[in-house]
Amino acid sequence: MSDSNHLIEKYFDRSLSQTESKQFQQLLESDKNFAEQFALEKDVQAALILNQQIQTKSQLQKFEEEISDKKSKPFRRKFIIRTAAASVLLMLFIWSTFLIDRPQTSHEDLFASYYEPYRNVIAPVERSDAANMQNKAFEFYENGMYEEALQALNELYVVEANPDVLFYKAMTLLSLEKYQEAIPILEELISSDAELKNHAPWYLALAYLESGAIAKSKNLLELIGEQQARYYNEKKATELLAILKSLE
Amino acid sequence: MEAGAQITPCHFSLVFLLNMELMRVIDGLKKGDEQFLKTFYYEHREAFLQYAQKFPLDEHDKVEVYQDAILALQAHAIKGNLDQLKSTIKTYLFSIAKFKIYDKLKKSKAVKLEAFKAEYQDQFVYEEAWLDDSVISLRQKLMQSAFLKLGNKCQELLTLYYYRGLSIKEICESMSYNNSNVVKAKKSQCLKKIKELIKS
Repeated sequence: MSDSNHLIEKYFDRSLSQTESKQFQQLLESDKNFAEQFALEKDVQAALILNQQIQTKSQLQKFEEEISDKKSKPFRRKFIIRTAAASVLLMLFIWSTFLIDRPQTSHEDLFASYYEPYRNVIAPVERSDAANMQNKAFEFYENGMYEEALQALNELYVVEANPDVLFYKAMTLLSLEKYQEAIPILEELISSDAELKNHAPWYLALAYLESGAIAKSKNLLELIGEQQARYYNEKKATELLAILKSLE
Repeated sequence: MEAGAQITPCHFSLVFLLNMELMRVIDGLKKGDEQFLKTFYYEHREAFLQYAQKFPLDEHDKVEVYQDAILALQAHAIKGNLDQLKSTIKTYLFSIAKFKIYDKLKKSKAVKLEAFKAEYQDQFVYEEAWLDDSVISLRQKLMQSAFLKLGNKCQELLTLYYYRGLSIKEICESMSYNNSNVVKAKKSQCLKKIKELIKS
């Protein structure tokens, strides 16, 4: 036994010789206790790697945000907000895998955990009057000044009838907790030719959820999950659907 | 020029430099060093997005694949899989990413692996393990949170051993234990604690 433990030790400090490697493989197949002990230690290693990956993932997301912030000029959103968002995501990631064990969550909590206003990806317009309005609207939007953003987006839509502007109007309404107003816009966007039309179902599902239309929300989440890679956030949709089902 | 090149001193030093670079990358990934990660992330991002253009994915998915590929690369670095790397780190990273892309496409359009490989076979390092290395089991997940509940000593010891790949003897020196047997006993104790924690 101590001899086989020695082999596991050598595996982890990467000093197995070729002969020992063979011996190691044989033991894995023939000795159940050895195989179990090794599997346990491999899982500890995997858990430690996972720990690091969770940290790294939020770092990478931060770099990515910095890139898109640079593209869309204003760099005023506070670091704290971003860190908070990252840690919410992180907690969610850890928590979501344990949901089988603890189904006591309310629908309201779910909206709050899953809703995050979509980043600004709208293409710059050429005409200078519209460009100014667009910059202004998205500056408000990115700084979380949603009342002002709503007004500016409404004005922008008059001069630039781009359906993607409506998408951000819906985001703004969701942020302002005006779900009933956001719903018809999102419903319409799905069958529009907006660049972001495939993003609408996810937010519509969240809006349904928050306004209490659970069945509608579930149907839509199921659709997003089934049509993988077609709609935005298919993984989260499947995850959220599983949570909703566990709440039944 | 490069065909049949012999190992000249110049060539040798190039190999040496490449190895140094590889070691620097492995070290940076293992430590999860912020500055390193940032430079690394920026260094390959544009090239990757360019490269990924030939696949039917949207921007958001491409970025996600790129990030996941770096996370997978980090796991490979920790497990020691990169120590004997024959290709460049970039080729390896892109190969992982290509597998992740395949994984995404497979779900949506039932792409067959053989067809995928045939269609996109350029500089392709193929490893079976990439197909399932991102699957995390429930026990691993439980252990991940159990680990955070361990005492500092246990966390340090397990990290040095399973994550950094230090030998018992090296840990003995680094953590100033009296002898290797004490380290081994402590390690078993910590493993036992983790086991108890995931049971409860």
